[in-house]
Amino acid sequence: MSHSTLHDLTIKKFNNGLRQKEFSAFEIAKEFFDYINQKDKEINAYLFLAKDEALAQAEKIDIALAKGEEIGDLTGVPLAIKDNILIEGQPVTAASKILENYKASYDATVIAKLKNAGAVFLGKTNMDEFAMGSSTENSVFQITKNPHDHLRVPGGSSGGSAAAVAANLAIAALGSDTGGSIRQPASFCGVVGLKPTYGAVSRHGLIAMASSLDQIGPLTKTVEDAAILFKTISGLDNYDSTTAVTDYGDELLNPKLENIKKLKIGLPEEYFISGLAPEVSKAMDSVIARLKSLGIEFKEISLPNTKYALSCYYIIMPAEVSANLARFDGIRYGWRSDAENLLDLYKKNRGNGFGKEVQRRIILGTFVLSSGYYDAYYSKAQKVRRLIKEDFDRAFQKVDVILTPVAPTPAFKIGEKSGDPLSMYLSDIFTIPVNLAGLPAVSIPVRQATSDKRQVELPIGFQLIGRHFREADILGIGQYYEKLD
Amino acid sequence: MFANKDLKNLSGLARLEVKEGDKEKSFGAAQDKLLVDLQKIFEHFEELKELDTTGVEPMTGGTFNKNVFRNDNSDKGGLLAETSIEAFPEVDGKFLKIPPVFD
Repeated sequence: MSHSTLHDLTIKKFNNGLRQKEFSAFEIAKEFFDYINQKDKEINAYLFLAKDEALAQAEKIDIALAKGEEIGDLTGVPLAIKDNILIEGQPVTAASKILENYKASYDATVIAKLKNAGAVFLGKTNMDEFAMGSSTENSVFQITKNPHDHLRVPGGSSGGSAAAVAANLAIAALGSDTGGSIRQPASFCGVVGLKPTYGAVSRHGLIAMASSLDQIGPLTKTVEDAAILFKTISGLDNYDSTTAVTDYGDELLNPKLENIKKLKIGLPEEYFISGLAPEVSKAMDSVIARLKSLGIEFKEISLPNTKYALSCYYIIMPAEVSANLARFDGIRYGWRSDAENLLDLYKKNRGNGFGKEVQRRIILGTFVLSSGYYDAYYSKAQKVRRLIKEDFDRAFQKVDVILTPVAPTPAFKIGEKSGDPLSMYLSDIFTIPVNLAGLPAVSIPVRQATSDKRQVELPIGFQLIGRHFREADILGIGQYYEKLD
Repeated sequence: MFANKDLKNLSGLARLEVKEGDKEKSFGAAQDKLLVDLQKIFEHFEELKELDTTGVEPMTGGTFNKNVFRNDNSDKGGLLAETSIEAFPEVDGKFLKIPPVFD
């Protein structure tokens, strides 16, 4: 086995190889750890490796297979998991000092489902602290590099997961997306990232950031792999009251071209603005041309309230953050400082345990929820949120899917935006409205021509937004886009 | 204008230690920067005022779907006592330590 085998592996290819006994689950898991050992020194994608557990799990699977047990889609597949998702007995820090040394006491529902499906967990990946950021620079532990250019960020907040998949340090990964945290790093690192419909995937065991926006989703090398992972982790869960009974049939994994061709795609004028980097603009043109060649019809649409989405989001999200993060006080678990009395202890634990961006958002949230400002900010933002959702409702009467860029630029340089929060926030303007409206959206790498060696080297993603619970539409188009020559 | 006293008041309400006296020392310039950054963000929010939202009902969740509740019993059982004790920052035998609640 060589590292080049690893570089080639998708979930689908791994599954074929395992079925044809080209390799064992143990061999591949071991090969991944060897390669991570060598390569992750440069990338810093992982915060923690679960080598012993993973190898033991892979060995168990090989024994079961030798006994004739059936191979499922995810049997033995080595995955990387964002460090805000709980795996029983393993560290989970959310890249924060306040959870340093904390070990998860139960499995997140998505983890339990993946364990059932036979997946192997290689380790936990770096992220912006408590998923707050767009570059993974807000991790208190390390800076993750973009595998395509080590001077640039991998995006965030699921930057470790995106970088791990892009650098072949895992076959696929899980991330979480509150305002673009799966799709933007997927775009920056050249991988596929799916933010499912609000309610499609359980968040039980995800360290909550903003509960009306958070979703867990896959980061993968192909759209087909994203569909496989998504199908496994979705569905009703008694431990997340927002989950819905989902009924994703065969169309998710085996979309039919005759159905895909009938879909109409909308191009919202508010997303194709003059502020787009020229290479992003060019990339979008090439995607549209390719999809037209499939016979898909395009239509110009308008989402007039798009410009208010950023302000709306930066009121609603911090409000929920300030409530959700109230539980981190250093009393029952996590990092604790020395203090004279209880109030002092809370203040010291939180003042020292949380990083700057987390503190900034807690204060923002406390402000917009405080009496006297509630109506002017929080309540106003909730009304704007409805208007943004109604924009999408109107658009989906005319079209089935909406196509936009994922981010206005390719990956930016490390340190470029870290000193200016507002400019960092602006890198999410195309992904935020989707969370506010609870819609599914996928980021897919634009296939850039390889004939010219001096082509743009940085990956660029395009975003497909679907109707509620219509992941099959966006993943279906994506699967046919991937197959085009 | 969002001022330093507002920041102090809010950080107190949020149980965050951002001490005035430490401004120069431990929190350094970050304290001033925090205030300036917040002011910039609030300024950005001003754009919402131009949008007429009269008669619009606030949207309170991620979708309009209703929450699905289960019966109030756990099929998983609670967390094991050992797991919770292991996670506790200060333990003395089976006693869990916290600083005095009353002065």
